[in-house]
Parts: sequence; C-alpha cells; structure tokens
Amino acid sequence: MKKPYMFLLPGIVFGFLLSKAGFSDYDLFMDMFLFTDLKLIWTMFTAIGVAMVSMSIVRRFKPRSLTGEPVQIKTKQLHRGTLIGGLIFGAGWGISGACPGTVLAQLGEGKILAVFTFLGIACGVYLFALLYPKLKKMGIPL
Amino acid sequence: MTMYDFLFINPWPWWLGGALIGLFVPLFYLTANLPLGVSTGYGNLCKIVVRNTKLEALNAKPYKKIFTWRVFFIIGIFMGAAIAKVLSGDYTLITEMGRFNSTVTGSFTLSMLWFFTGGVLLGFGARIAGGCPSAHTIHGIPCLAPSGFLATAGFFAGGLLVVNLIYRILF
Repeated sequence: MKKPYMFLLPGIVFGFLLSKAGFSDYDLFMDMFLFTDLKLIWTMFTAIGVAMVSMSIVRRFKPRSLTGEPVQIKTKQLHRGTLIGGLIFGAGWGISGACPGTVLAQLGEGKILAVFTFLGIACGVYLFALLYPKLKKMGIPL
Repeated sequence: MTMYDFLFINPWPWWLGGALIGLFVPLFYLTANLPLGVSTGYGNLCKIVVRNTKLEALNAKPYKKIFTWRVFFIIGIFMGAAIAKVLSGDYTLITEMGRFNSTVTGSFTLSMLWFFTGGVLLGFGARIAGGCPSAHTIHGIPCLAPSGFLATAGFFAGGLLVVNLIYRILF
C-alpha cells in the first residue's frame, strides 16, 4: 500500500473489528475496570496472545511486506513519560470509556457524546504541542 | 442462530474479536510494513485546523504532510464501525452513553463537558506516553517492547483508579 487513501481499507477492517468485539461499548469498559464483566479483558488477552505468536513467526521468517521491503518491526521508545503519560491516559480512559481508536468506532455507531471525547482528544494533542517546549526540558521526547 | 446472525447481528464472543484484532498486527506489517497506531493521527487532524502552526511538536516527521495514511486510517475506523452497526440492523443516533447518563448525570451539557475532559486527558496522556492502547498494548506488548508493558500498566492503573472512584465512591 503506497497511496494514503488506500488506508481507508485497513481502517474499515479495524473499525469493524473494534465495534464487533465490543470495544466501542462504554458499559463494557466500566465493567472491565469494576470487574463486573471481564469480556474485554479476555478479548484483549486473546488479541495480545494471537499477535505475540504471529509476530514471533514474522520475526523468525522475516518475510517481505507487500510494499516490497522486508518487514521491519518498529516499537516505541521507553522514556520518562511512558508511565506518567499512561496514567494520565488511563484517567481519561476511565472518564470517557473510550480511547483514540475506539472513540472513532463510537462515532461511527452514532454515539453523539463521542463527538466531545473526539474533540477533547484533538485538543489534548494540541495542548501537548503547546507545552512541548517545557516537556522537552523535562526529558519527554516526541 | 445462523452464521449471518453470529457474524453480523450479534456482538462477537471474546475469542473471535480478540483473535482477529490480534491478527491485524502482523497483517498490517505484511501489507503496509507499519506498526498499528491511532493516536499520532490526531496530530494530523490538528494540523487540518491549524495548518500553519509553528509548534515544533506539530511539525515533527509524521506531520510534514497533513493527509498521510493516518488520516485515512482514522476515517476508515469510523466507516468500519458504521458498517458494523448498519449490518446489525439497529443504526440510530444515540444520545446516552451506556450507564453514564442514568448514574452520573442526565444533563447533556454536563455530559458534553465530562466526555470532553476525558478526551483531553486521553490526547495529552497519549502524546506523553508516545502512544495509545493500539500502539502500546495491542502492538507493543506482542512485539515485546518494554514501553508497551509500562504504558499499558499506566493505562490500566489510571482506568482502575478513576472508574472505581466514579462508580464505587462518587456515584
């Protein structure tokens, strides 16, 4: 896949999966954190397990991607912001019952209040960009 | 229950949703050679609004161009969920968010503020942590990235704390 618009297709697949798996369901996230229904935990564990096994196969056989290059696994850097950023994010997750991917699925499903979560995320990203000169000095990279 | 009902009408069981989301990670590498991730794309959305911003963080590498794959991936997620809902046969606009409106507040204005606040923490936290659960949890942990484990610990600790505060103590 070379052209940006082609990524509509994997996006549609991912959105369909998020929706059918229940990740766009506010109540299921609350149940997960309250331990009243662990469906999403099992879904997440399954996803992590399946991805872990299949990615270890990818690492072992180093296949070529359809782009023509060999598959190159890129992971995020560990830094001073990883945990604290995770905690801030977790608080937002608990308040909104969504994350940056699943809020898009909520929007697609016609959940009006997701509009405000979505706008909030964009503003939060902008807030980060505004504060970045200070955060950079504190050792938090982009 | 027919196969059609199972796949398109009802919510999926955990093993089906989990397995297919898990397979998305290697398939995204095999087709596009990219790590799964959503939150970076919100920076591209910001730049649609503030096109000429001088802010360093919004002129980093992923934002040199505005309409990158990430923008289309985001639009796709929206479309895919809409398709799932339409196929299930009960597409309607919904003003409530699950049990939130019957437990915390019935006011739409307060709900707007509530979800907006949650969103700001999501966006800000994701950029500090360098990613969201798609990049850190679904992609990072299976790729054995230390950042994935630590960020995920943060996501869950924050969520546990806040949700239990909201539903077991405050409301």
